[in-house]
Amino acid sequence: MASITIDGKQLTVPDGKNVLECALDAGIYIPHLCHHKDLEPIGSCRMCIVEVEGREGVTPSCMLKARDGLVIHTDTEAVKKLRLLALELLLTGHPEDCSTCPKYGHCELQMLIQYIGPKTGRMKMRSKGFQEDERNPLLIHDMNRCILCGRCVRACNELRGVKVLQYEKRDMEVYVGALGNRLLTDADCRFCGACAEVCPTGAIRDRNDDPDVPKEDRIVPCKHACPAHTNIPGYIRFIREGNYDAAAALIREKLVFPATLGYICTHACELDCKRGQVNEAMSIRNLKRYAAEQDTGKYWKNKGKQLPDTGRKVCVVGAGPAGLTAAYYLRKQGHDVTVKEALPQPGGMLRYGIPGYRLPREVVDREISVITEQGVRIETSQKVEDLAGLRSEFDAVLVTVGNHQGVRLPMQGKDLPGVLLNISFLQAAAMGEETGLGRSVVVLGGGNVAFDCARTAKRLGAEEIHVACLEARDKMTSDDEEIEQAKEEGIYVHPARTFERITGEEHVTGVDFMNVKSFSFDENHRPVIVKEEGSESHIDCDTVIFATGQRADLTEACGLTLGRANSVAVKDIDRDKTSSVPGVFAAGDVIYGTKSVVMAVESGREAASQIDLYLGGDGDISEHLAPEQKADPCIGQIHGFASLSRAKTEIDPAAERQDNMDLFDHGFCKEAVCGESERCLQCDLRLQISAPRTWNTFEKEAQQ
Amino acid sequence: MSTTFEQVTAGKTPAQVLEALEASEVREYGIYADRIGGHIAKARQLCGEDGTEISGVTAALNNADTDYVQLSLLAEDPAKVLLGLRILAFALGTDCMTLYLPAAFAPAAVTAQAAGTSPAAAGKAAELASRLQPLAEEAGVALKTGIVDMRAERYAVHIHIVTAADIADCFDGGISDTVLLSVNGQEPQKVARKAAVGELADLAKAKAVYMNYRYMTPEEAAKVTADSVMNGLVTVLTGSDCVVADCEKRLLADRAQSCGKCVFCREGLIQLGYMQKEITQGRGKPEYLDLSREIGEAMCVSDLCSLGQETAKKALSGMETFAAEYGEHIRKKNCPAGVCMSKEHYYIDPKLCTGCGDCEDVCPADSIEGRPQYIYMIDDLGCTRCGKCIEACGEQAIQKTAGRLPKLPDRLTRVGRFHAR
Repeated sequence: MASITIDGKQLTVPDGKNVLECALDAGIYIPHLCHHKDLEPIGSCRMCIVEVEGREGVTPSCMLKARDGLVIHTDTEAVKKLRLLALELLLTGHPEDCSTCPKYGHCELQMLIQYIGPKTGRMKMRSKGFQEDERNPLLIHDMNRCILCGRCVRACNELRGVKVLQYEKRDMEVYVGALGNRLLTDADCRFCGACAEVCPTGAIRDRNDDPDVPKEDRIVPCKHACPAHTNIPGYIRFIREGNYDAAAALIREKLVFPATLGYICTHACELDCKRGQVNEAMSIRNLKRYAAEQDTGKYWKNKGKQLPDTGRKVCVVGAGPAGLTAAYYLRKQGHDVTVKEALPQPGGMLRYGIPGYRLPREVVDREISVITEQGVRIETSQKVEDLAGLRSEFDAVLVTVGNHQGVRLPMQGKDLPGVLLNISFLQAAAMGEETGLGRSVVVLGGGNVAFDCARTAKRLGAEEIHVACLEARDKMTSDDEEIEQAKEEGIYVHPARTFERITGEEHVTGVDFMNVKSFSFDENHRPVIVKEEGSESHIDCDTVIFATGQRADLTEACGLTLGRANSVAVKDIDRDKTSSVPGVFAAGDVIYGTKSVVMAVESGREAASQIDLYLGGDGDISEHLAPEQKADPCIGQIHGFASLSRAKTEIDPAAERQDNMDLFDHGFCKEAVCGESERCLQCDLRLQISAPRTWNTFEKEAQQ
Repeated sequence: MSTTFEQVTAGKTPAQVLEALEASEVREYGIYADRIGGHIAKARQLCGEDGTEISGVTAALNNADTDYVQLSLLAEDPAKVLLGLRILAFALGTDCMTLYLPAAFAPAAVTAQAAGTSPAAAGKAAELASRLQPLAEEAGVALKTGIVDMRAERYAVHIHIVTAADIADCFDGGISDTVLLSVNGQEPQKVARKAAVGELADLAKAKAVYMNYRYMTPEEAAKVTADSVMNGLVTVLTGSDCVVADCEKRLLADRAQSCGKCVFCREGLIQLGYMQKEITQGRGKPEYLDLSREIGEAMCVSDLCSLGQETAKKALSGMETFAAEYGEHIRKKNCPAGVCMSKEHYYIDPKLCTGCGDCEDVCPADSIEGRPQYIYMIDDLGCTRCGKCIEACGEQAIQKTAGRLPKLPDRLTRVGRFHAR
């Protein structure tokens, strides 16, 4: 250790530590710009200069190593004069348009000017004449704003080992860019964003710098987009390391159905994945599926939280993903949980909605068994009519009955024999019962459920199948792969059609359509449809399936106040899930309409936390299952990184899959997993980078 | 070079070689002139302060050198320079050796011009680089171009190419008693080390001498010995040379060579150069001298390598030693040598202008005003005398004069309506 004195304050610091860091850590602010806590000092900006007693002239404190007996002054007249001169020189090539700069208010240079004082106007100002470079994905380079502190160069070379950014020179002006002004994609940039993170000015910025989105959500959008906020970059890192147990444990911290979601999640994460802007989004769902399939339970089986019994009884009505998730966590909080399910087996839509060729029933069984092993009791074939009445037997009730009633559109012929409803059809098919399906089928609707119906019909032997919907092809809510795979199986898709009428006297004979010219919603969220004149068309069929939404199978008799479309009204869908009866809560599709499994899981978690609080617990259902992750900031170089393409799963050809209910997408092979996990930009690494330390944060500390 | 590295080091320990070197006559050549022992000790001290060891050795021209005279030595006997570098590395117990060649080898004409060398010379230098490559590889010396990165090589011992050659000679019959010197950019000659510049260059008509990165009086320059000329170049300025114009040109070469990492070197050179240019154009202001001095003095103490530290001295010494010449430019808008363009004005002959506007379109300084069918006018204050308008004008209406301007329109005047009265 060394004893040094800075501005009269005596400090004991590690021998050899750089004096600037010593001062900052001790709450003494020394202005600095090129220095960054996580990077090697280079002493180029001359902002952090100090005087050392017994030494001539000034020294940049970032390059000065602490030695016993150093007496340092940070604010002498000589220092102040040189520091102002250095700042004035720095600013001669920097545009004077702070107020229109995207970095306004977060710019370290701007804050330095506030601290050191305004320039005197005696220098010759110049424009460096660079064009703002918007050729690259994710990052914008505006080298006119660059003050050549070199942080990005060091971050890219030393911290990340990617070695893309270099000092370059053009027409006597030095700037930072990839060698020879190449595109970042061509220079094997890894798009980790460290450069933008450390840039003190607006020279290297994120394309998406929406100040209304919290920083962490902006930087790791996949995690933000996931309703359950699963630590996606974290588990992909474990997968890359080959540690599938750890990856599965990390997923399980947020999702009780890792494997199920690995098969059928609607993957909102992939839509927001930053890699998608480089070339193709990460195949996150398939990576999750692989990890979940390899999972041995090493990190979580019998290792999670289980609080002692509280003696409180909870009843969950409906054994779908929302209800089972809530039941699992409520049990872990020590409550006695009974799940009542109307159908013969638990799983809800996982079992009776989603067809088996997409989600094997063994997977559902396996994941439900984890929940029952935790001590949750499931009573099947127990339809509860009086939901509010359960409150007399239980300390709390959670209603998660989902939406199991199909909706018939009000149109001519809707009640004809041969007209089926999505949910009833899928349920009957799942249970192996008679569905009433004919030879030729028209499915009305363009969501994933519509395609489930069409593809199930195909597998049940229907010969001609059409899917028609109001939305244009690019606005259809079903996944692209669903549509493409359906077409491969010989299913006809007709986007942008109105349903005029179902024809037939005694039985369905077909459907009349017209073409949609435009389809939008007015300010009251009511659809506005403009039809194309003279575009009438007709498709012959003997079966029509309505796949135009579903709602809860509830009546006033349940004792709870109902909202729109038979939903259970709760105080606040996002937060307070209390229904009109105290102690009775609701979650999942039954409160917000038909969404996704992952939404249901998150809704169930949230409800569990609230019910635990209601029952006197602390409401904290979080668990740490995965081992601590050491993410290496040095990601190194990968040749051709930007063009690595999204890995494909092994899918059975249409001819082999279209006549049976067997799983046809066999997921990734091990090689594909390795390749795919390498593609991750590791956006989360950026959160490791230290925040800048500006004078105003020191003022705040000093005041406290 | 006949002696080999093996012959020099046979049966010797590094310490013995180092001892022999420290006891020798070898001195670091150039800006950091010192006995070789003292030069190594300084590097050791820096390493000691930071608690580290010497990381390697480099041989290069000084970073501030934009004249490259001593490259002739390298061209003449590359093996000798490489041997010297190897001996030093051996003595210091390192095998990390680097030889730097100036980046100005690049064929880019602007660099060649700025460096004051002709494209032919640049080509010669590139040829040298290709000749060096196999030799360096054999000696285990890394070959790099550009100036020495004093951040990456902070803990290396840096020696001049001349020093490296002297080290080799020192172990092969003693160091040479001559040194290369070029007068006014002529082919470098071997001259006696202790010969005075006064004997080697004709200073009879000299007004000033540019040497050692400074402008000095002929009297001062005459006494300097050949081995103390920091880069082997003596430039004599006579009555027909302008110190301000010469300095401006040299600052531009420095800027071209700067790596741009240190703020004072990068931005300081631009400001100094800008002010020098304004002075040559007769637009200098008295306060430029103070500001140049403030920036120049700060550069001397603020930059990491000789490029930043030494280059400002040319501006500082010029302004101090030839204050009268600067004063004449600034106060009287007059270049005593008649070199500077400060007296030259561009104007548009109102009788010839057809109001086409071609000149306005090409003016990079936006200093031509007017509108179609009206006589265009040049703003003399903004005009940089680049000559683009002269090329663009199809009527030969744009004229240059060193004397007084004729009567010109002072407001928008239709073509044909101007009458000089």
